Amino acid sequence: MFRQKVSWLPLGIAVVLVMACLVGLLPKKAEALPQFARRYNLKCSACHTIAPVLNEQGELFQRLGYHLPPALQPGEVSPKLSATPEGATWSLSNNVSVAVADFSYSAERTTQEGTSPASTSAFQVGSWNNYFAGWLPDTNFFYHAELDIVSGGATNVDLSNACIGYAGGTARNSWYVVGGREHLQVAQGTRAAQIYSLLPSSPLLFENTSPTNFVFDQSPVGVNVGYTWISSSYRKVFAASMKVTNGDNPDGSEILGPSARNSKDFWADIDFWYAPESGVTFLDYYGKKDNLAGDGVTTFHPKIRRQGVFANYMLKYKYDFLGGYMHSHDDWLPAAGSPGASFIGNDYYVALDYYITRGFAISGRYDLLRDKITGASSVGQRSTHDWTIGTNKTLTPSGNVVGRIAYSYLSGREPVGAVKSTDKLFQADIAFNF
Amino acid sequence: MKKSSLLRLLYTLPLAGLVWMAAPQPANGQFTQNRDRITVDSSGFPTDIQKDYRLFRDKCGACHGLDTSLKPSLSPALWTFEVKKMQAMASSQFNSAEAKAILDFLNYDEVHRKSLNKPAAQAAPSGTTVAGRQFYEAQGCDTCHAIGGKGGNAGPSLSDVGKRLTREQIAQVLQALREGKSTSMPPLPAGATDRQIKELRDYLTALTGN
Repeated sequence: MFRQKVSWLPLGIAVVLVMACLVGLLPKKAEALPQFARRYNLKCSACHTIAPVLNEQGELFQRLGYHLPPALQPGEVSPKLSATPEGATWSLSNNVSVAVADFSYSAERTTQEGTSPASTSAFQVGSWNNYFAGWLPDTNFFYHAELDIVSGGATNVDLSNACIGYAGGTARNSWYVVGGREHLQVAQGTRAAQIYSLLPSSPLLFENTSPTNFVFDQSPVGVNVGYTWISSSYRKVFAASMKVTNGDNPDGSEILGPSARNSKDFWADIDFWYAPESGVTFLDYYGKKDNLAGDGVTTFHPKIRRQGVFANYMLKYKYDFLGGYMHSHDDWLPAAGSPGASFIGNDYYVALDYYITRGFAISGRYDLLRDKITGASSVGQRSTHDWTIGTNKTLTPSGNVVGRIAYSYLSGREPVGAVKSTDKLFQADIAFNF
Repeated sequence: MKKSSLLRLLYTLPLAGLVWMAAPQPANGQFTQNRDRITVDSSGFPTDIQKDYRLFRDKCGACHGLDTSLKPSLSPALWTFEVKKMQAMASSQFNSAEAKAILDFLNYDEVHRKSLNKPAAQAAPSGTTVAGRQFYEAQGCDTCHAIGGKGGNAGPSLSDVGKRLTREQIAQVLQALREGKSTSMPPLPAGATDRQIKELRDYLTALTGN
């Protein structure tokens, strides 16, 4: 039927309709890859508690090069990855997601002592991403590409992931090597260390917390290697990964012109699942970047360091207790010729996700960031508090449409003038994964 | 972003969508497979089976469309194998007592619903041995790899396996199943005779998709 002649008018109408549907259907960045659900004939909840939060199966699936971890019984020989069930035959529809997107409403009110409050609201396509991911038929090679059309409510076409990898070993002892453009943090670490949670925003430690504007939410080019060991029946999983990357500024923007030195990132994480759906992650990041000093003109090359420990404990598959700590230590240059300084940050968060039923959860999180600048131009300690509550509910049996409502209250006091500021943010969004 | 690039994108994506829709689809490759198209009226079930059914629906239905479990027909031994296998999966959320309750429902359903709704026997593909087909169906291979009744629910369709694999390769797979070496498929019964395995091999070899 698709071989018949198609005139341009209906095609034009079709284009408009498809675009209208995609725009109309539409939320924060989603990281679910629904083509895998199609390939393996599974619901989203096979790999996510609620998309995009990965469960243990989902994390293993990723670490095994998009092979479903097979059922393993004690004493059973662990099959080679190439021998694990591959599901349906390769087809475009099983490798492509044309719309992983969200449509959101947000209302925000900010206050600062001594100034008038400001309020804003927005009703927008929050994100629209396309994914191409899977494995090459009859091989252990896998690939993952992400084309972002809309990010943060703004149209900005960006190929944020484009990498190819190879996974080897057996289901219980596997390793992988991935090369290309890959997100620095996504899906590295157990659940508490994930940048994506059931709440719209990440804990503060994953956001901008330093004068250098360094964020984990970036996708430099590099090489990533990992090893995974799985005990029988998945009671325990040990995973380690390491990546060396090259190329982006601290805030994730690309270094397009000549650079005075090479930007480098080194990342390592060690993860241990000590019980089903419960784990602990140790994380270490070291980067050296091009950056502008505090005068906005001088280029300097700060060293950026992050060390963190994260853990979660899932009780009766109902209550998920999560917590994390991250220490930041970055070089900082207030202005050209000024003595060097350091940014020191310590961030702590605790959270609880309560799953009322599968696919329906309420969440709460408290986040405390204490930071300061030390050295000749020291600035006293600042404390920022962030309270967030929210609820998520899957709206379809397969779990590919998720509705979410969240409210956060962030407050802090500027150390020099002791001026207090607050930010109240309400967000409602609906995420579509097709 | 340049206007021309945006225009190219506007045209390319829907066209890619059309190509996507036109691409050959596997029989079980879409979300439609995850819709609960089989409904079970549990009101007539004994009280304990009603409870088991709800447990089955909640636990198995979390990852699978109910049709995945309600369509296939398996012997109690094979259902036990399947449920134990699922219990051993990462992120499965049921214990041994719950596994038993799920099995109770599946076995009840097998006797009281599925046996009444068994479709008429499919005509054997030409050139195949009836005995091989009967053995294939008796072992429940069609549950995952259905041939006469379209594609499988969990595994690849074997409707053209004779074209994809040689007789020797099929024999090797069957031998591995017989020895219980496969972790993804239930083993063939230990008591299966060489003759039965040979008939099954011949049946599968003859399936060329025609």
